[in-house]
Amino acid sequence: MKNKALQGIRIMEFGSFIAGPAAGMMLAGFGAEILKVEHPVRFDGGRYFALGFGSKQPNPKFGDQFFDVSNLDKKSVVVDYSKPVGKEILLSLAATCDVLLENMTPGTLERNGLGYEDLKKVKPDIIYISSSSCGQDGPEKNFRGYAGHFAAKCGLGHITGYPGSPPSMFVGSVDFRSASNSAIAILMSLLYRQKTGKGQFVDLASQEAIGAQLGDVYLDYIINGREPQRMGNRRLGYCPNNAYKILGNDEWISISCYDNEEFAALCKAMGKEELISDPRFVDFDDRKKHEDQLDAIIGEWTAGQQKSAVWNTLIKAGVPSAPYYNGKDVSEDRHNLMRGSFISIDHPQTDRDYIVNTPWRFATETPAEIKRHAPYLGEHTRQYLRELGKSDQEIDCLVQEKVVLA
Amino acid sequence: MSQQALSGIKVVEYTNTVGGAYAGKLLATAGAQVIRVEEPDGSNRIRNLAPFAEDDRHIEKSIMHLYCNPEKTSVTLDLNKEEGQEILRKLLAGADIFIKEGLPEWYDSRGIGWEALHKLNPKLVVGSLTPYGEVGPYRGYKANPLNIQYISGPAALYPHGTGDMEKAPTMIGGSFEEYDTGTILLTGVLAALFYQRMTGVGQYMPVSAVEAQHETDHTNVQYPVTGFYHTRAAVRNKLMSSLPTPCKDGYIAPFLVQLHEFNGVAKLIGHEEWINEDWFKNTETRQANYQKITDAMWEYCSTRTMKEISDESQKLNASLGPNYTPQYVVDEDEQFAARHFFTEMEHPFAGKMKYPGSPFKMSETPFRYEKPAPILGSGNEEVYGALGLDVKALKNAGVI
Repeated sequence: MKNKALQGIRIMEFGSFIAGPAAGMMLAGFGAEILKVEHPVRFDGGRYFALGFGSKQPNPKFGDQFFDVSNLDKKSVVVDYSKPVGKEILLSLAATCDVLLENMTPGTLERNGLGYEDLKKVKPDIIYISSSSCGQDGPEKNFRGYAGHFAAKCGLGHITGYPGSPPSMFVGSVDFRSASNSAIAILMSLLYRQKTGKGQFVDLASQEAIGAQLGDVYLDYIINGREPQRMGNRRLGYCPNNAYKILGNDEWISISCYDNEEFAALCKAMGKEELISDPRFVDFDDRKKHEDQLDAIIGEWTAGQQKSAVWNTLIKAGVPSAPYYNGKDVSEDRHNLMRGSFISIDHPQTDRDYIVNTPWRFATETPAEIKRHAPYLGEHTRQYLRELGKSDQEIDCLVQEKVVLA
Repeated sequence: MSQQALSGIKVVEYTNTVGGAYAGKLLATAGAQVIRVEEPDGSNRIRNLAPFAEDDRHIEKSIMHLYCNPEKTSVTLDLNKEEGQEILRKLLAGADIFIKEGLPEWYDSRGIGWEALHKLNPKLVVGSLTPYGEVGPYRGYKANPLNIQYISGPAALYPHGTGDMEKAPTMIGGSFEEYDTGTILLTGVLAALFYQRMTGVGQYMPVSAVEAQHETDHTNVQYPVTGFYHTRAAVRNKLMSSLPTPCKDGYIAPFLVQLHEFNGVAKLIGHEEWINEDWFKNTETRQANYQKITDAMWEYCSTRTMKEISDESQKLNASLGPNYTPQYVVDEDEQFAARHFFTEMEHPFAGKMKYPGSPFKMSETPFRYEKPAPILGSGNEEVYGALGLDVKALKNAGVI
């Protein structure tokens, strides 16, 4: 049996929806043990969500695909942390953990005696990461919203879409950026602790994690005073950089050229080698000046061509290009199928579920893998209470008193 | 000088994409020693990517270079020459991490492939980026950022709910999604490094940019289960009165999901009576009447600014957020300012600048932004000198 990169690492997670939980799940893929702690009544709202629009609301004990998407391979421990007995149980459990990850409303855990200072008393080297929308301090520390709000707040909405049209809205996937950055923060902190024995507190604001991925946009404004605008698919660094209509309803081929070499390949692919030395298009800056004309020429060439044929022609000629794929295309694509980029797993309610496979394709020592659907509510409470030394009778009492769900 | 999270960790980076360079940036600003290997003729793609400072096409002035390469040391090296390959091996012999891009055969044929490196330095972790991965029918296909977005599915979502169905789907703005490749690569590299520190064993860890997008997106898993997939038509948003809403100084981004948020909006826009009406309480009938709600929201927003609406709606839990511009975030936003998100940096060619900061804040080991993005090859003397190499001779031979 192969090893796991994070074997022996235990993370206690107080997570809600995506931003916190998806980080825990990413680390589960490396073999970390994720104890997902939920309140018996006010549990993770993601359990209620149906992923497919128009789908039936799931049984929250199990959740459906939406919940799976962020909670695979975790252990469910359900404890009422607002009761002193519950809090004590969690502190005892936390003392066995390396990391506490939370994205509850700022202040919630502190109010319940489970803040960083409280945890340090039972585990001085704990790594405690609080993920929030706008940060643990500042005038907007209590800002409530969804992933799309944070994207809009940083300016990402303003620059997504077409000039003359409104700014784009966003879907929940923006939350995965908070999650990936949280995973990095936890790993950096684990490495620091591995070296020094010291833990620390990490304050992650979704709007800053997103803002860091807008750094070049802010810098262009800071240095050049250029106010960022919506540009469709165009970008200052590439020309052409656009998508063009091909045969079929809402079918497109994207083409992108970084330099003269890639542009020459495109001209050859189109059978229009004369464009290479056309004064309108000779150099990058020339192409930028005449981008509308260039897009029109390319669009004329692609119009009416069949998707795989035109992509084939372009790829053979070495032109950076790819067709438009919607969710159906992605799930049927032969490259994704061959690579197992998505996998099918058992699910207690829906029978099968379909999930993203881990993207970390370790070749040798420590394969990353995702195996199991999200835990059902309270599935592992008993296991961890036994680990703390509680007898089954004691656990049954705690269940009766509604301190835990097991 | 206080310790940083990754002090003592040695990284060699050979990258031409934003994802690779950003992974290196997070390592460097967290304290790792990052040596960035670059082409001697200055042809590295990041250095030649517009926009430039003062729109001056100069290899020290690319905005992306200024953003992705602080705290790194730049050395030049011609990896097509045997002496260059030998020097890279020397650099990697003492390294913990090698961040690289491109297919194995390019490296294997130059004696710097995984097998050779692992023999040379068994603890080396190699993080390798390609557009489609090293296995599969699209292996080796050329793809720039736009193409990755198109084929991995996210482009299908955008622009979301703006009504531009006749126009092509778009990427998310800026280079936003390119950074995801870097964060996903880095997550794997750091996990591998943690294991290396425990066991002394390094690993090869390839990441495909397309799969990095799947991991930061997850919306594509729906189709095989529900037969449904999101598109930029944003049908769900429309029914939830959650389309872009114009206001006095820009746009509002509503995202109304739960009943209490709709109740908050009703109070906010002067229709508190709706809260007790059956059509509003029931999800189906409320969605059937989305236009009524949308019209009232438009009227309310038309005479108010983004900040006013956002602040008022927060009090009522009404989920109407502002669509701030990037320039507002830089110049005016109080929360970013209170959190000191922007620091300062001075660069020999680009001058003094306000500088965007960290994706998160570590209490004991904050990120550092003291050294600006390096001049090409400015680390040659120091790095190659330490290896006992004759820098002048190497320069004359065109190796560096």
